[in-house]
Amino acid sequence: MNMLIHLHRLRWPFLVICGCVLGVIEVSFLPFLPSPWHSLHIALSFSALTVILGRSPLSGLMLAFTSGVVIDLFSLSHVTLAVLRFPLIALLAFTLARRFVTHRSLPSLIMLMVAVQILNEAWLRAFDGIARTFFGSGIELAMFEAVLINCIWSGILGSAAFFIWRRFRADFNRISTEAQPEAWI
Amino acid sequence: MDMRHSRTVILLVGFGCITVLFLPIMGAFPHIESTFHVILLPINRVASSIGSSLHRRMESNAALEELSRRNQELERRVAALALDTAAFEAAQEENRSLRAMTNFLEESRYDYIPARIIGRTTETLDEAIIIDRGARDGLEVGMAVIANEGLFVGKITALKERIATVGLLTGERSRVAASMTEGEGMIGVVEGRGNRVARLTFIPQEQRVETDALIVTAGTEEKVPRNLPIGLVNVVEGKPTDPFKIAIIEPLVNIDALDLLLVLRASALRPDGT
Repeated sequence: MNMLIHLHRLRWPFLVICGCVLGVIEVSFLPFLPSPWHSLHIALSFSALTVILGRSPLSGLMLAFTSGVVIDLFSLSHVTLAVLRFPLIALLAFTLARRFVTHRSLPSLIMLMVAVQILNEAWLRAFDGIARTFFGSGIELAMFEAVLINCIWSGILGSAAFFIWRRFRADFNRISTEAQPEAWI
Repeated sequence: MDMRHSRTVILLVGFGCITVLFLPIMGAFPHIESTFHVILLPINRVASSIGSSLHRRMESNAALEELSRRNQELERRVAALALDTAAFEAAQEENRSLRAMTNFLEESRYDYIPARIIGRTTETLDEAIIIDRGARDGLEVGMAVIANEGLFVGKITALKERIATVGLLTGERSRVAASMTEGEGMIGVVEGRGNRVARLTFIPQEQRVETDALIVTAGTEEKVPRNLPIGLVNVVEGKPTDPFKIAIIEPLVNIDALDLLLVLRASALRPDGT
């Protein structure tokens, strides 16, 4: 148990590294793969999933923030601001999960994951509209197929995560009760 | 939940977001960004190399089918060319021009900066790639980017200190003045249409443009030399009553197969002035 608590102390550095890895994968690995893989955006999906299924939304927020930083570092247009977009959408997903849709059934989790992608697209379209109105040129929006692929991918990821989460939830609960509660924040 | 702990993390994330937003205004952002680029660029290079090689493996079967299809198409074209002696002369001229273009780097006043592709934008119509060279390497917006054989890939559209975006020839916002190898001067503008498609517009009605004609850069832009091969004419469209003709261009460069590019820099723009 001491080892678990000791590992817990490394959670934030671990999350930062994971966020960086997700960002690098999204910027420099996935775009090189053939269709439909090159259209996937994994950073937001994983962050949202961590926020929805995690014990605390903070891990997911940290993941969203760090992956957003890396994506923005390699983007020459700062209009879309992944560093703000990802944490805010993750927070919205958390609010949806806690207040409106439960994350305790498979269909609702899939709905949440798809909602995250729709929120992301809505954010980009809103910024595109603002940019077109006030600055004369919009941002580059992804094609409909890419958005659809991301929704499907999010649904699959949500389903897979749901089964894994349900399988190990009992173990997590047991460990967390045995461990010092504040260690899992 | 430990409220004190969670408040600290939320404050940290919020502070980080605000810092990222306001650093550009304070002018400190390029230095910090550059430091992060130095740390992350090697990882990006490795990731892009792995992605690229994986792409080649995954598409090997599809590539064979595509090669077979293209081979048949080329055979048809060769047969058509063999029947036409005028086309034969054009091919001779084209051959001479291509040879000249292969060595254009030595002959022209341009030198080159090699760059590796580290990112791509594939799902939008404004097709672009990110390369691992930036303003500190002497790159400037508008510079021409070519593939190893001298094929025109696109132009630098945005710059940071250590990275740059190359707007591809087929991107929706791409515009390049073009001419034909045997002709003189500009005959039209190659416009990107997205989805790896480009077209040659504003071709005067009196200008003769035939299928399979090689289209090259006109050299009327300051940082784009002339005679860089762009693509072959696939179809010529337009009625005789229209003021201009339009030709669909088949780009010669296959961006999916590329890892390395060359950015052309006029010798006069070298940092040492030589």
